[in-house]
Amino acid sequence: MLNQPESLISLFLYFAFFGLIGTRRGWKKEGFVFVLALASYWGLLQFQGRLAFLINTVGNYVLLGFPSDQEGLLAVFQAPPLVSATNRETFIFLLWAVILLGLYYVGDVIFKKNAGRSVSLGFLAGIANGILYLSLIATRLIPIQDSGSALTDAPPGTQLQQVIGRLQSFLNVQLAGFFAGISRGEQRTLLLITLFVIFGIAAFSLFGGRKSQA
Amino acid sequence: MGPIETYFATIAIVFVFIGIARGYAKEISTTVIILVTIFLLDVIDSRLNPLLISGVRRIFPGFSQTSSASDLLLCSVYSILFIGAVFANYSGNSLNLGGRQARPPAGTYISALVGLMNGYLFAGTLWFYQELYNYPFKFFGRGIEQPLSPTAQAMVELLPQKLASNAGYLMIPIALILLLRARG
Repeated sequence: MLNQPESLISLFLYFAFFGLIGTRRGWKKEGFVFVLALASYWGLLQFQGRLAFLINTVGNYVLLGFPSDQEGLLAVFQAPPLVSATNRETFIFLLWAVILLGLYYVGDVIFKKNAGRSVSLGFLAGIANGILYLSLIATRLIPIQDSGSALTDAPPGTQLQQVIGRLQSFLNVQLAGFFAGISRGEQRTLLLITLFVIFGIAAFSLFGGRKSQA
Repeated sequence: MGPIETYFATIAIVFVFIGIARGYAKEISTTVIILVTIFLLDVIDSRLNPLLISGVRRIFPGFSQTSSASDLLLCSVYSILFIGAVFANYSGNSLNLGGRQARPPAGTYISALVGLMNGYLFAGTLWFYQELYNYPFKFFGRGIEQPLSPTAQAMVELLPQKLASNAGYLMIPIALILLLRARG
């Protein structure tokens, strides 16, 4: 399977795509994201035990209503962990995804539009990010591709249909899991709070911080 | 016509693009109009429905309140009223709340979020009236795919009108924006 020319062409297109993004954004922004995304993932893996302990302790302390007596404090350590061995990997990846999005935002704020305009360096930095995402993100997408028969065996011309079908079933499973996890009332409250938060951010950003124009 | 959640998602995505193109300073006024319209329709529907039915009965004596034609009439009236209110905000003099929009990239992200919220409120309200009146709309003889998929069945419980027991709760954001605007 490794000797397929199509795979080589696809890989070339993949790197060219990331390289072009790198040239558009500039090597400073791309390098910033690459270095800190890699470092944060490594850091999260190294300190996952301590991080889980900290979140479990603080989280349970808050959930149990900030106890101050001996029994209450003991209950904090005896409560079921929020981040356990079963969901630790998901938690680490979620945290890393948030950091990654934050890095793009911070990078845009720190570096000016014309920072690091070297085309070749930008292209290389873009490819570096492409390799990073290939290892950290693309590997997480393999289960979607592998559901059902192998996608590579699909007749030519039907791949798009197959991918859309698999994405739809994947989303159905994910949504069903989400809806089964919390009660209907909690889902509504969560959605209502989300709407209010979006509205609040927009309103505060328009009128909150400084004098408005009108 | 196909699965309704596909239409819902398509409309929501279109609104995201509209939000990014217009900016959230303008889009927030659409949110206010949508929320007020949802509230007003919720307040008037119990009074308006008997009036509409009796009015049509005077013209067509054979018109039955429990028929599918009645569902189609009520669903059409509320959908048209709602679409009309939103369209008026986009086409005419938009409600101008003023304020200064944040610069990109933060401004773009907020615009996309507000656009998504408007998409949910708009598509969700249209879906709500479809569901309330048993999906009466048919195009070229085909209606919404029935029974709904498990995803659609779960989503239908999270439509804007079902989020709170009272539509008055949806007025809270408007009170917030008026307070912020008053001090701005």
